[in-house]
Amino acid sequence: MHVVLTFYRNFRFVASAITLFGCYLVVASESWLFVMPMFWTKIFTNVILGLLVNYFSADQFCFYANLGYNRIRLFALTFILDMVIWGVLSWLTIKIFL
Amino acid sequence: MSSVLEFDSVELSFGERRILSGIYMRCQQGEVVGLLGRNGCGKSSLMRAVFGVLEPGHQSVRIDGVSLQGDYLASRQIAYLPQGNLIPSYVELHKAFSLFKVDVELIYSVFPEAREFSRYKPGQLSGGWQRMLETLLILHSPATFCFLDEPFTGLMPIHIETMKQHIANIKTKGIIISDHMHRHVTEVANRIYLLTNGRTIEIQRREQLVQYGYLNEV
Repeated sequence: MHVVLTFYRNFRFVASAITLFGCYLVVASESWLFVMPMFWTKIFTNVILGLLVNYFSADQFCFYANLGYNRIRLFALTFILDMVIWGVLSWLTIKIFL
Repeated sequence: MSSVLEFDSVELSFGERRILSGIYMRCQQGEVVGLLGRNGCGKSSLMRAVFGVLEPGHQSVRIDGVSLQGDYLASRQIAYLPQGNLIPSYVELHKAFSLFKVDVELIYSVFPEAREFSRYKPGQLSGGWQRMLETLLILHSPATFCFLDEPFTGLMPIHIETMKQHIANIKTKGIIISDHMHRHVTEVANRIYLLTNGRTIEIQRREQLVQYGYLNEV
């Protein structure tokens, strides 16, 4: 988990901004209908972020390979982590504000 | 009983150009094996392929006769210091040591000056210090075998000597080391392989390095 959290630092600002923006839309519109578009937005932006890191920051993968993580495993676990964070925050937003 | 890493039949081509074809190397736990070769002959590619981050056309990697297949990175039996930077720019050194499960006190016992850098990120260090700490990170990781690609690059002479001594004293690992500063490699290595024309040749006498065109003179 520490390894994935460390790799997640590549994405955290952009991914968190998108997640928080999704939560803001739910609060501002007072409707959960924005959750599904945000789900697809998260998928799309995660793919773009993953491609950018894969091509422009490829040197770092040796570090993670030494920790036993190949690229596919690293990206998959990081993607799951981000979607879980998004899911939990969206659920909390709906529960608290709607 | 000490483990033995062997690899052979590594075949690697980039387009039409065949880089590796007749490879055989063996490294036993407790020994240092040098890998020499001209620029672009495939030393780094060989290390990357055997480590598991570069997919060659074919290869056979064995530890104690057991073939490593599929994604064997997860077993963490081999650690690899790449030619470029190892630690990502956003990871503090103490975090890197913690992730690699390295006993930092052991590092500080060899290089006491390193203690003050523990909260630094790689970009805050000089190239030499960064290289040295990355080398130590690999050497003290839990892996049984370590591949060091250009570990002496950027190190100041006194640190090169300390590092060579340190490498020679590590008896719990099998180390394969490659560096363009061949004297350092030959001084620290128990055995030497020369990679030339895509194949490895075990060097018995220094004259062979001249014979195969790696050195001008002994």
